Amino acid sequence: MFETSLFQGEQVSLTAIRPETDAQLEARWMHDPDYFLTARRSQPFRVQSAGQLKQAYEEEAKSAGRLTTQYQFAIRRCADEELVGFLRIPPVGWSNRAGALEYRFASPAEEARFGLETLRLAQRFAFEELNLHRLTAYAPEHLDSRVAQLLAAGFLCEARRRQVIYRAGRLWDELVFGILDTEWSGAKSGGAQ
Amino acid sequence: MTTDTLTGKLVRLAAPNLDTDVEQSAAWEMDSEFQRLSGSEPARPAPLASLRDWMEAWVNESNVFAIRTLADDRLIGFMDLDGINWASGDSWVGIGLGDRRYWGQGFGTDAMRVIIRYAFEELNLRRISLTVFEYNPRAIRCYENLGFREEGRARERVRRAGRYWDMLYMGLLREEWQPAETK
Repeated sequence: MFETSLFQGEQVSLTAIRPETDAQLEARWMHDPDYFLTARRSQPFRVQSAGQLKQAYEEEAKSAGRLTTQYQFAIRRCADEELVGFLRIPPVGWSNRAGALEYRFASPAEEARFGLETLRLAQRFAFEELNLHRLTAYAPEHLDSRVAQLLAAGFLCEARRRQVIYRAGRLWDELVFGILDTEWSGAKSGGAQ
Repeated sequence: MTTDTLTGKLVRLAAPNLDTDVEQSAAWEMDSEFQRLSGSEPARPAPLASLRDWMEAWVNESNVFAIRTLADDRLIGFMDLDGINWASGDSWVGIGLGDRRYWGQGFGTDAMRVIIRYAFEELNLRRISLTVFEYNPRAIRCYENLGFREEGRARERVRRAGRYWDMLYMGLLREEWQPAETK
């Protein structure tokens, strides 16, 4: 009846995390300093082993199962199902219909390629399936490509939290973006484009 | 070096005492206005046992302070420094005055001055962050008077009483803080 595959884009799909194999890959990403740039962290980055990551995924899956207000996905390339990143919707406040997107890619280059389509899939899921009223996303000011993609996806920059990120020897602002269901154009344009 | 870091003009910040404070807190939770000002989740009365568990976890995970009046050592609320980012020197601050008799009389502002001084002079933080709902103008005025700047607002972030309201992001950098105000 709906004929919309919520999790399938043209270049990437949103799938379940496969703890064993995905942890091996992410542990390898952690040795690339660029990887640190795409993850939203309130604490300094620590390198983790595949075993630690696997445990972290499994714990998160357990709490997602318990809460049912929290969602996590592996972002995979359609061509070969290769893992390129992770997307998480932290616990949604149902009475306010407010949710957020947190995502990280293998590198800024992967984000530049797949970020916008991932955002559009995430928006469609948030507005058409979760029935959210608003979606929040965050970007460090130094990640130009993410800022451009969020704007291209219809987000508005709503706040600039000054000097909250310390990275590469200096302080950076964090930008807070928001989009309302009434502003989302996905329904009109047929969802993920 | 004679300043008591945790004492202001009207209040002092003390360690929470779960044995005595939980019951007081449970009484405040019956005030839905207090809950609506404090958070975005639906207001609800909290059973004593679950409130105690929640407070125990809160006290263990964050820097939580009981706010007590200097005049008669009465517990009037709680505040915390949470999610401290030591690398950038930033922390979230939260405050809730549960006892309505102390609203609008400078007790909250005094407690904020004390915790700001503690954050900057004792913890060596560089920045303090907070969020506040647009339907709480008394708190917004208090934060502005303390030097916090509005850094933006998440539009229609919370739904209460049949309409959506914005949530303001505010921040105070150490260099913007006027320590004279704490004296």
